[in-house]
Amino acid sequence: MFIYQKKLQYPVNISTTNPKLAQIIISQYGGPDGELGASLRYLSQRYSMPYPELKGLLTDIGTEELGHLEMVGTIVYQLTKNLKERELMDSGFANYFVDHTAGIYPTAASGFPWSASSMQVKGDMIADLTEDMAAEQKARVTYDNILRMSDDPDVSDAIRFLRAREIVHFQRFGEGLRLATERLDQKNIYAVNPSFD
Amino acid sequence: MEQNTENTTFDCGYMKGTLPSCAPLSVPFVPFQGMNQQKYDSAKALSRGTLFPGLDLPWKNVVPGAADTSTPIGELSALGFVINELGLYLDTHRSDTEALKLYLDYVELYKKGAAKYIELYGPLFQTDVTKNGYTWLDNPWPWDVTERRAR
Repeated sequence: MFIYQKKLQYPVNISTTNPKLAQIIISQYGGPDGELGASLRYLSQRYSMPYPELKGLLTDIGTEELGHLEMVGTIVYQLTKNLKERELMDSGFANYFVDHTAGIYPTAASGFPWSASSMQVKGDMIADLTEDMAAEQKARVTYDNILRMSDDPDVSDAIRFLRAREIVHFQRFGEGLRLATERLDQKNIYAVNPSFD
Repeated sequence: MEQNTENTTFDCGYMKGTLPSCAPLSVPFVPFQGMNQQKYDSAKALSRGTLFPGLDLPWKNVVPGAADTSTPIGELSALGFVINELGLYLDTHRSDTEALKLYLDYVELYKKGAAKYIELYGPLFQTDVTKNGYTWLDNPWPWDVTERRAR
């Protein structure tokens, strides 16, 4: 089960309204490489993992990603507080605003709503962990790109933290994959799928 | 078959990890992080987004500003972050007894910090009922904008 802790993993305090920035950062809430997909990917993949290290790793990283989802939601929420109606048309935020006002909706920056087709559960630990490593890299690049465009130090600060986590998770998934493959037949690690066979 | 990762003594330095000398083809290999590596203190770990200098690889080498850990919530965040980071590390390094000891030390510090925080600012968990009654509902919630340094 899950229990909510009433705090963010890393403090977010944004004082300047900036709908332009909110419009791109929403992608890490509901975009193809965002935190919602990350969390659901890991928390769903864990059921078919054959080894305890992998069950633990996917549970713990998947849980941390839920905390990141909350941070990204907080960033977008704070960036769109006190929006002036006359600013909306020039902000790039108008297309989001017309459907969601200043609510937080899981969508990519392009407007494509969050989709389970941006993630996969293959039921094979090598395939799933290799996807997870790629997912961490893609999220890292999204944060790189946000940092290129952000002109608010309070926003960049939180984004840098989230980016750093992707690198740590990549390392841990890589270690998990090694612990797992070392248990397989070293002459042919693809001989069987230990999740199924 | 685990001998070439967890149970080996490493001496590759904190920026490097170990790879097997021979390995099956067509498998991705990430170097294993060694045990007893350098670690930041909790405030620096939170600021950098990792406890480990070897995994601290910032975008364009921009070093982030120090996270504000002078507030009760900042201090608690730093302790909680180290626990989270060491938890993931232990998932792939379960035989590192020194890391486990450090983990337990931080869990103790967090418990103490959390008790102090709850008394001053209200619940972290819904079950943290204080002498002020059912304050779980009280603002601010984590996404609310608060006066900087207020909590």
